[in-house]
Amino acid sequence: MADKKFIYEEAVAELESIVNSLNNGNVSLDDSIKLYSRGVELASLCNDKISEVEKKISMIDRDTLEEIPFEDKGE
Amino acid sequence: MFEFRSVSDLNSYAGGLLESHEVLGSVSVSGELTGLSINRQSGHMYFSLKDSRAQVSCVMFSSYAGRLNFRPEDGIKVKITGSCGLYAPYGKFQIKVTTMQREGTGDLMEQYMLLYSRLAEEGLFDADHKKPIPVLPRRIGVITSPTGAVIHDIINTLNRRNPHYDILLYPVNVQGEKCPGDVISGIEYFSKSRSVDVIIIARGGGSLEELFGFNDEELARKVYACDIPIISAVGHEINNTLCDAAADLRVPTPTAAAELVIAAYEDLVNDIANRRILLNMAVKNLLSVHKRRLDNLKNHKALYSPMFYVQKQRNLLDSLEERMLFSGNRLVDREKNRLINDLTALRTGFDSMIRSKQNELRIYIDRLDSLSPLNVLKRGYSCITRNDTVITSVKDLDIGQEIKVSMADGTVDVTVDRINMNSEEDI
Repeated sequence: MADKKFIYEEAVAELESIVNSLNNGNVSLDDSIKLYSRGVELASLCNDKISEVEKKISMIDRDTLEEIPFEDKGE
Repeated sequence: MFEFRSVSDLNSYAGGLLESHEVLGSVSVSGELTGLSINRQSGHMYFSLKDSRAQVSCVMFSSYAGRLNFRPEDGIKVKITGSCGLYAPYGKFQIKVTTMQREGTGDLMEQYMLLYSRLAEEGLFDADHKKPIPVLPRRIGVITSPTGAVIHDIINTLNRRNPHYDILLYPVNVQGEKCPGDVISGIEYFSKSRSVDVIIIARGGGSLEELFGFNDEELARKVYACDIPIISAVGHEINNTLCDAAADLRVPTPTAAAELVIAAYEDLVNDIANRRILLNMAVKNLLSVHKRRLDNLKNHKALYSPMFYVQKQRNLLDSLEERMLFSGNRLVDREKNRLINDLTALRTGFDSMIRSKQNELRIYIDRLDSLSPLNVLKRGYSCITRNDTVITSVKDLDIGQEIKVSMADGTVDVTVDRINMNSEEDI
């Protein structure tokens, strides 16, 4: 399961709402700087997440319920 | 024992026997149609007829198939007529079908339809129950056979689109009696271990019987109840299993499941890059809005000329002062005028009073003047005295007496010579 601290979809949604708020124009200069910093932070967190997972293929051993490496033998 | 020269001879002989057999040479039989395939070029139909215990291969050549008044499909119950024979290349017993009639729906299909509508009514396939598929799953659970094309296709597709994946395969039988129980235990395993973000249940295409494990009621309920989003890729487009219908997302093929389970790496990178651009543009726009506001303020007189407001206030004060003075002056003027008027009136009154008093005085003086004896003397009269007593009658005089005559400019001493008395008439 994804860790509770960072959920990609939520981060993207927050980023989107930040862009919307900034586009709205009704943001004070102070708030806009805070929002922008948060947006940059979210974007870089998302970027990290995209590449975070290392390619891995495992299989459950149905007898032991252990995870064992799986080798794709093709067709 | 008859010795055949070749397998071809054997099959040819057996086939001939079947075709010319008085019973098998012309048969009529009912059964459920299954495994239907139509050769696109020739138009010949190949299928099997079956009941719960047995099945038989059939071929219906296009010349006969073209006469059918319905579209045959797997699962329907049909009655056919034809002749039995042997397909020599495979030594396969088959019926060459000449006519086919529909006989209501087949048992398996009927079962499936009944179950489908019952579960649909219960809400197992409702769209609003379906969970969204995560964009970026950290780990993907796959329930399928560990051998064969399905897992291979999934891995290949992921390798091609997004190498940042982590697959956990739960191996199952995708066919036969064990299939539903296997798949159920896979769903249970993932639900319990919470080890994946999304589950793919996949199988290649097959006949209705081959896929029938995925029409299991308990399996459909497990798929429905599972907390983790499930993508079902069982069978191909033409097949729709209960597992497909209950899943959060149904896709036609395992490849499609792999394409939808995780976004393409490039798309994800581009998406974030685009969002960054949008963020920068938005903040730039906002800053320029603020800058415009600031410029407007800077260009305001109050800022580039700080004395502007002071001057403005001063002007205001001046005008107030003027107005106050003006009205004040008017007040003073009024008072002054009144005073002047009063004074003038006073002076006029005083003057006229003095003038009238002067006139009065002059009249008195004139009157006094006219009474003065000197004035009488000036007019030619004289006054006679004797011993400083004024003599007003001749009777008071005697001849020889010395008297003094006073005139305006002097006196004369005279002696009385004669006295002449006036008669009464003269007085």
